[in-house]
Amino acid sequence: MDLSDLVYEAVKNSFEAGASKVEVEVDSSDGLIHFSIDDDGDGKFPDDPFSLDVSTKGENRGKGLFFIRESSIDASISRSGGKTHLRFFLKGSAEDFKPEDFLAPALNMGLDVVLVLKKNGKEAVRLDEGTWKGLDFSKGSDLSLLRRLVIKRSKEWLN
Amino acid sequence: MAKLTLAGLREIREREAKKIGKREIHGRDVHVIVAMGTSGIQSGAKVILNYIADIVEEKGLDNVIITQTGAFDGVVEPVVQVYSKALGLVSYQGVDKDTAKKIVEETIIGGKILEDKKIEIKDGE
Repeated sequence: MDLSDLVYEAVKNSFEAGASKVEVEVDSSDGLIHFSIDDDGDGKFPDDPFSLDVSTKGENRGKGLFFIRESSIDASISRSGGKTHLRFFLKGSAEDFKPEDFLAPALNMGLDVVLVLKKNGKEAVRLDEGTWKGLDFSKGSDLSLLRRLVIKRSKEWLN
Repeated sequence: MAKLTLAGLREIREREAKKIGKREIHGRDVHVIVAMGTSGIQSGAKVILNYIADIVEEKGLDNVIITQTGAFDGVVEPVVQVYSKALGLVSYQGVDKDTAKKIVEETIIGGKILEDKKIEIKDGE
């Protein structure tokens, strides 16, 4: 699984927890890439949510967080202020992450997503509803337009 | 012939509205459904969804709706389903980029089923 797969897994969990809004922050600094995913879902998770096949969603579920932790140097999940906070980081750089790859399917699910791309803790790019205003995410053609839009904006993060 | 009551008229109207609603969804648009459970993601389903969206845009197919569903059991992922008025629901398994391109060109545009990739998925599976 690549980095956009891991973020998509996290966002899918948010959707399945009933979230309507997800904030994804990605910070590339000193050879590490940090992911912070906050959502307004119901935040019910078992004692060790990162264990394989441990899930509140039924049998044969519970692989997403496991893969996130297996891929990361460290990962944590917590709850405060009515939001669930997932944090994980691993070796990598901005060039290793393709935000357009997870964003199109995430918006297709009907989630309100805010994506903030940072470099060394400083915000470089913010993508939100204003960025993709007017696009219909159920339409295949608009999903592709979204991807091209995000690729273009992401270049500001890479430079 | 007995007169229809208001309740009877309402019932007929609701029944017909449901039918019309179904025709509008399935008659006007092609519906592509990509199975995006974790196992599907591991097998490349996200890549396939994005690739199908790109081909749809490239070919100017403005009537194609794409949605996502969870994983199916006992299939080779990635799984892609296509609903069209002409063919009904067709399910494909083991969809790679080549197959995804063929699905758009031959099934969605051409109205043909790719028999070597087709599987039967029953409702509720």
